Amino acid sequence: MSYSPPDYHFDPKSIGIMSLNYLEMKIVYSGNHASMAWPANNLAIYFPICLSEKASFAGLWWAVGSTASGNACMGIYDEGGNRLQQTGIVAQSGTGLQLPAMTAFQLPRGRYWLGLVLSTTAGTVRGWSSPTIGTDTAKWFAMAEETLGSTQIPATMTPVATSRNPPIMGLMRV
Amino acid sequence: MYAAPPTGMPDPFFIHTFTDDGVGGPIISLNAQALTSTAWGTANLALFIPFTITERHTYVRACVCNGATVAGNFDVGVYRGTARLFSTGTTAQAGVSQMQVVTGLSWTLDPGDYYLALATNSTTATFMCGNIASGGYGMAVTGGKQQTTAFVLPNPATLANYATVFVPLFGIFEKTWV
Repeated sequence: MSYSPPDYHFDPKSIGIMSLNYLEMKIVYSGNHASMAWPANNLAIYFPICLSEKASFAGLWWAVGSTASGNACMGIYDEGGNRLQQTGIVAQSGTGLQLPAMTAFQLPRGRYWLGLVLSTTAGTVRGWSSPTIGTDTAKWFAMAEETLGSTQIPATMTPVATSRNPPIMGLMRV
Repeated sequence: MYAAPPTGMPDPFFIHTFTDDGVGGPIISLNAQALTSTAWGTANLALFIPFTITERHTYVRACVCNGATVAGNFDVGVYRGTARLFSTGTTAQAGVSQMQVVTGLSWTLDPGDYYLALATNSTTATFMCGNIASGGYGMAVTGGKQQTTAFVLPNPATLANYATVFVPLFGIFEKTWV
């Protein structure tokens, strides 16, 4: 039987806004994480993440707030803003973790962008709230946004600066 | 010459003084977690915050987080040891309680250890800052440095241990959208 190295990982099982940037968020968002209405119909919000190693992922997730409504679509982009994987458009459902079914995929070590779009402001997600360093707080996290014509997360990001609060979303390893 | 491929956590797009995966020192040195508008207090004081990158990047924006009062001029720079590699030059502080962005930069840094540096020539200029344990030792033990009479940012710097009781939020960004 051939040798199989142990499947050790250094990155967390779930990688996203609650893991990589937790300390920074605690410092500049006094509201901790709470249910928040999506800021605008078909608005995409982008957030950078880093992976320290190659890994297999079961999917992309976000945290639904107190009310699920409309549709959502989430994607992950490479450093240059090219979409690598997406959930497709799904109905927002439940409260808490929403992890749409996807075919497992691998990503190498690198720098990426998570992107999430909701179709309606009636939908809610959990997010960090009450920024304490002014309306530019999101900029310090390299966050960005894009107004879309539909709920489909685009093939290529066209980001602009944002002042939105960061929604809680991430990647789930297999 | 062969260089081993980078390993570990990639560098964030935005290197600033509270990037927990990029700089980190200020976070563990804080007395309290909230940032507050803080007057610089000592004209021409420069603060140096260490950071490390593992890959080559080009930074196109330098950013400071202004507090409730703006005054005088500031200078943001990057040092390798005591050598100043880049600086914005003297820049009038403007825009209360917002991120002030210096554009038009092209600062390419190779993998290595550096300092982010900020100086102002005003005692009353305010920046959003974290409060550090008494005597500033919380930053000194993470490698922070300072220099008095250092405006504009000097080359070379004469570095002393960090003894300031606050650490300002400022940094450099690879993207153009801030």
